[in-house]
Amino acid sequence: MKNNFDDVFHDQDFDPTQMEKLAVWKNQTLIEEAYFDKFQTCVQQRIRMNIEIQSITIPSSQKSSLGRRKRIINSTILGLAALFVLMFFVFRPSSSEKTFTASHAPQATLQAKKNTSKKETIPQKAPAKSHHPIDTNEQKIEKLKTENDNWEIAMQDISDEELEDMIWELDWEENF
Amino acid sequence: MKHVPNPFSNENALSKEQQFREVIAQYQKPIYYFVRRMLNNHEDAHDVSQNTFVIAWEKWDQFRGESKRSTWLHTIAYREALKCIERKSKNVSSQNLPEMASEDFPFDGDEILIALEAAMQSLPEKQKAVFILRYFEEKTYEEIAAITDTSVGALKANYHHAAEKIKTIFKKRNT
Repeated sequence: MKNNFDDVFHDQDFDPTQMEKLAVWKNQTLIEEAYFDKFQTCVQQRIRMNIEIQSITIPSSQKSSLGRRKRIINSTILGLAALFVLMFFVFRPSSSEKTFTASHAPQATLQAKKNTSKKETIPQKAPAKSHHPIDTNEQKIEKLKTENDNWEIAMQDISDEELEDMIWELDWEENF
Repeated sequence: MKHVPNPFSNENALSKEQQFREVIAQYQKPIYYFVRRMLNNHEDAHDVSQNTFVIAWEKWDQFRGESKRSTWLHTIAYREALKCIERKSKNVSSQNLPEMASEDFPFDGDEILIALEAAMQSLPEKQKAVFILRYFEEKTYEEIAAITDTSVGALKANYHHAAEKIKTIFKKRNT
């Protein structure tokens, strides 16, 4: 015991009282001896319990039925996948059909297709005030001249914006 | 699923069962005391030491005899104790740890012994393990190196720090 103290603490300064304390500390009884009488039994119980838990988790009778169910599900999924692939190859348009459509389709059909695609790509215009976008303002002013003899007098105090409004009103009356 | 043989059924080799029983009888105390000093708590020590033997049975065939049986068992116990400490540190906030460290002292009113125990419990886990194995279990440095998976040089340094700390507390209290 003495050697172990020296080895541990590398010190010769301990007096007998200190050595006694260290000895008590080292040889202290942490638990009653009776505890160890049942220690082995407890270990055995734990091992048995582990085995039981493992056998309860998946009973062998269920294992076979689970495996069978799994196999059925797997084969069903595989069958459906195969059917899908088969249908894809049967119903997809062949490459010769595609060539025929491109080279021999009637012009009208092709034109219609073009128009459709154009319509899709051109963004919609904002609603215009005039229903005759082809007519420019100058043309419309000319029109007003013919309709109104006193045009020059009437036009003297009218701004461009007011003129455009007038044209719009004329257009409105014409169309509605 | 891993198959765990039942060590107490008749179909298993009797010699293996006998060996296991003998190992439990021989090492139950050192393993329990080592774990108890590491964890400073009977409930945890009971759980971890029991678990050590359950693992020992499950891995019985993996023991190649390259080290002593006691070294092998202490290695399992050391790892299980560290796992237990880790689990507890996750569950308990660090503020409660000092209280827990002093909850299960085996001394009644002897201040110096309580102080020594407290000093040991305040050591880092590895230093504590090295100190317990060297001082209480009287293991050689080579055995401790195998148990803690540390080089002999490193664990000597660990041990020196632990011993110095405890010695200082011991001397302060005694003067």
